[in-house]
Amino acid sequence: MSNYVISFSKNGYIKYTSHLDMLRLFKRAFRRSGIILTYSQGFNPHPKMSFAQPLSLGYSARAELLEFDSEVDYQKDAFIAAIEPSLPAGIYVTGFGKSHHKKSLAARVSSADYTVLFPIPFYSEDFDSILKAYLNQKTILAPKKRKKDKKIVDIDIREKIISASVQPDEDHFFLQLDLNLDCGSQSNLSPELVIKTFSEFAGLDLERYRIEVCRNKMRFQLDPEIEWM
Amino acid sequence: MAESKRLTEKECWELLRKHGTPGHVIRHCCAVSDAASRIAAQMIEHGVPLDLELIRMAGLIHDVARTSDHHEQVGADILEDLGYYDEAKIVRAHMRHRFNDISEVTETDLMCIGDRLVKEDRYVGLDERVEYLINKPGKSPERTARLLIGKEQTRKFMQGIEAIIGRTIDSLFVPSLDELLKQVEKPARYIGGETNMVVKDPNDVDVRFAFAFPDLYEIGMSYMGMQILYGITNKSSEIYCERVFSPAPDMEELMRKYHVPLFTLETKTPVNKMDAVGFTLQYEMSFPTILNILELSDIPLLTKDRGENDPIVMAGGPCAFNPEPLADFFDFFMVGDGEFLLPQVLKEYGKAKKNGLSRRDYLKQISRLTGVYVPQFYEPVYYDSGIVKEYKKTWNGAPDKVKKALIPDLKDAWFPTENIIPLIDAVHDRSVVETFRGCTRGCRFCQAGMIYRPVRERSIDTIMEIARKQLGNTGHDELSILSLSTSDYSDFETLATGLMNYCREHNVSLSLPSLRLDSFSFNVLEEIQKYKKSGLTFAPEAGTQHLRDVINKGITEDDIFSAVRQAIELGWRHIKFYFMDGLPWETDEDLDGIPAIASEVTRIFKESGAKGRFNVTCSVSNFVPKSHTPFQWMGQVSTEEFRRKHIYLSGKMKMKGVRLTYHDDAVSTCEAIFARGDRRCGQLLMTLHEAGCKLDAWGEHFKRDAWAEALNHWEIDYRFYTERERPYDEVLPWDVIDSGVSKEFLIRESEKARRAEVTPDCRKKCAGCGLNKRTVCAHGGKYE
Repeated sequence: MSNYVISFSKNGYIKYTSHLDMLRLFKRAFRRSGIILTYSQGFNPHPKMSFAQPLSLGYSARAELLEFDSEVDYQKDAFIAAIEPSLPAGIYVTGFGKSHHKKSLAARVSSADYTVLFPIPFYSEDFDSILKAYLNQKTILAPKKRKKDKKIVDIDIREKIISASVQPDEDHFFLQLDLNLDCGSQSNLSPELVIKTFSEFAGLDLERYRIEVCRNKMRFQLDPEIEWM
Repeated sequence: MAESKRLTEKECWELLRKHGTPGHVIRHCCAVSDAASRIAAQMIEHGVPLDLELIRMAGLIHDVARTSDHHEQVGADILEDLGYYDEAKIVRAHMRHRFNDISEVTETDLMCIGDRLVKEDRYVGLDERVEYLINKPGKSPERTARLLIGKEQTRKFMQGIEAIIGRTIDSLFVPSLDELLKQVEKPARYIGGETNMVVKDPNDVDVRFAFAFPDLYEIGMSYMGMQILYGITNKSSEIYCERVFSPAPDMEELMRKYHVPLFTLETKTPVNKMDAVGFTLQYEMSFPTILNILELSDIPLLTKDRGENDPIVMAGGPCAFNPEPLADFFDFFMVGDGEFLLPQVLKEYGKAKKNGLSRRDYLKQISRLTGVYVPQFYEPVYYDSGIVKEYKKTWNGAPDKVKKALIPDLKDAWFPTENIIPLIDAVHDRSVVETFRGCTRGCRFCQAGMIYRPVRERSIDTIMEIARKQLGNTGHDELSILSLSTSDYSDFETLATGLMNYCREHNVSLSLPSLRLDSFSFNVLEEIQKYKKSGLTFAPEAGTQHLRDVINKGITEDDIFSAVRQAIELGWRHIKFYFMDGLPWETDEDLDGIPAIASEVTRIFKESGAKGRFNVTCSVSNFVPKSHTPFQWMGQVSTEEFRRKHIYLSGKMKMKGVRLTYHDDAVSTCEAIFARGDRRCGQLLMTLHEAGCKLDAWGEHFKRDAWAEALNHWEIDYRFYTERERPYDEVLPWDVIDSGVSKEFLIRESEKARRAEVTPDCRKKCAGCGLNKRTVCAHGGKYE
């Protein structure tokens, strides 16, 4: 049995599908294209397939990771040729390989890169200095719903921001904020909390729906041991 | 003069920084640049020679010196010194520019129109912008007057632009669909792009058709009829069928706010740009939603108000068998099977368009097709009492009666194998094969059992092939079959075994709804449900044998209890019963039969010695008399009487492990008005629409008070439609529709109901419904 990994991009209107929708979508795409997955044992067998991390609804992505088990020996080109016709517009497979690690990707991913695009002229303020000042705060408090009692409490997100930088985007010279944030089961930070606190800090008066977010990459603390084909 | 250099965007930014232009001014410049270039791009597209880059850059730089006095002069000087003469000219002019005549429009005009429609960093349009200027500090009558004169000049100039680009300037600035989608729940309802969605170039087809389902995406996408008609119309190269659903209230609010017209999922084209729009009429409570969809699409609600450029508005589905409440809103209805008729009327439309036929001539043309009802060709005449006296034809060529469209044999009927797979969780999201159409049981309350006659089956081979292809093309892991009564398929055992074997081999779960619970069915259920026994359902519909005989529901208590015994033995722990209340001649003793059955079932469980929890659910729905059934003349009980029955039942069903659920009494009354309403009900529908009613089949969206008020203020007493019993010789509003089942048969059945006499299943003995006069009935034609 092999543990395969695919990376894929997600762009256009399809980004308005949720994590669960994506699971169902891939499950069907596999069935439709005749790719045979290993099923779990038990009363309610389900195909062994999972994403490295859920992607928020509304985010586009460049290289999401999905792993699945199969008894069949698949090669990159044949696999992509089989699955592409079954994927809706906006989702493209960008890589195919095998994982040689016992643990799942979800258990090993440690951080993720994001690009946040604010439709604000980059040169209208000195965003470099603003970002520096933002990051120089001892604590950055952001409201978060606590899981156990659904209460909103302030948490400090500063430690979870690994790096951040700003630059003008290529198309419109808009403010582009590049982030590397904790991501995974150890420590996780949603870009939403950075968007919220940074917008407030910089005095940006922007509705959330005008801001675009793209997840570019998943990172691992150790070598992910993925053998890309 | 030296040749003018051109500013680049990068140089713009450098200049803005160098001259310390404040952030809010830069953002304003960006907005002006964007507004001006959007308008300019449209003009260029319509053949006006303009320099788009110049307009864009002039917009970006125009307030570079905003903090200085006479900033337009200072800014222009800066640019001139650098050799940017064209930009300088525009900047110098922008504070006091008078628009040129539209025939001599310049880049300066465009930059300035952008500037005059933007407030700070947003496009707001002329009205809001001038309003803002009028109310700025330092308000004076003189200034206001000057602003208003300027506003008129600007408006005149805008009208010139709008005449060229063929749309309003405001319409260029609606938020993008992306921005709307980020603000609503389940945005994937509106994006289309699902696997198996049909993609065509609209320019390559003769007819663009929008199939509208008057409910939310996840409801409409569960409906097999849409998949059938979508597939069958799109098979034709002349037609492009696209889908449209009702937006949820959150999306609707945004669409109304920003004047975004309702659009199709496939190409995001506004619905009113289609040639034709077709609604499916599945339930009466969706009628107000239809009007809402028309309004959101900017299509005149009333047929008489539509012009030659508006889409043709049509409908089909079970409620088209009494189309009269909707007659004022629809150009025509299609009654009966749609597989052949719908593509036919659309192709006729394509021809009519080519030949330049008027709407009315097109309607005349198609009124000759079997199944087409054009309400404007008929005019109801009423007695003072409100009862219909007769239907007068307004055009002699219209048929006296509209026979339903009928496919004699399902062998020839196409069935989809490349279903669209919804991106979000739909109510039903599985492969489905229709095994047969029609029903032989003859339950007297059941409209489907009457209007879909005769029974027409698909062969086992065809069913298996469709199932295989559908599962292959969709990747579904669940298969279900569609018919009015699963077990009545003539060779059900072979079919079920075949499907079971196939599903087992392919890791597909099989669900067989409404099985008759005999020993074979239990074997089937054992196999397909195994560990996850979902619960067993029975539909006795009435609590006593007497009342079951009245409604001709051939199920006995012995049937139920022996099946329950077997089910408990096999491990089922949840039993569900479907009942109706408010049936004709129903007494409280009949209602008592419901708790009696529930208590007997719990007793059987105890007696069996089985352990664990055991649940019985009794779901009671309110009887709504429907057209074309033997009960079409019956009065419905009042809303209050429904309520009393519910309270009565609740009191009797406080038993451990027994749950009672019942339908909303007011909704059942509302439904009944339209189920047997006449054309005058259109006024009521209009009132409901104006009161904001829509999505009324959803408990949370049903506007109880608005409905109550509309009913109370209506000049007609609604009980005329609900509670009144009609004599057999009364002209009924749906008499113009011929379902193929004769009135004599319905009267005979109605009389037998009164005497609680049963009519056997037509498979056993022909009941003489009259359908064999229309077509070959596999079971009938032997009636004496």
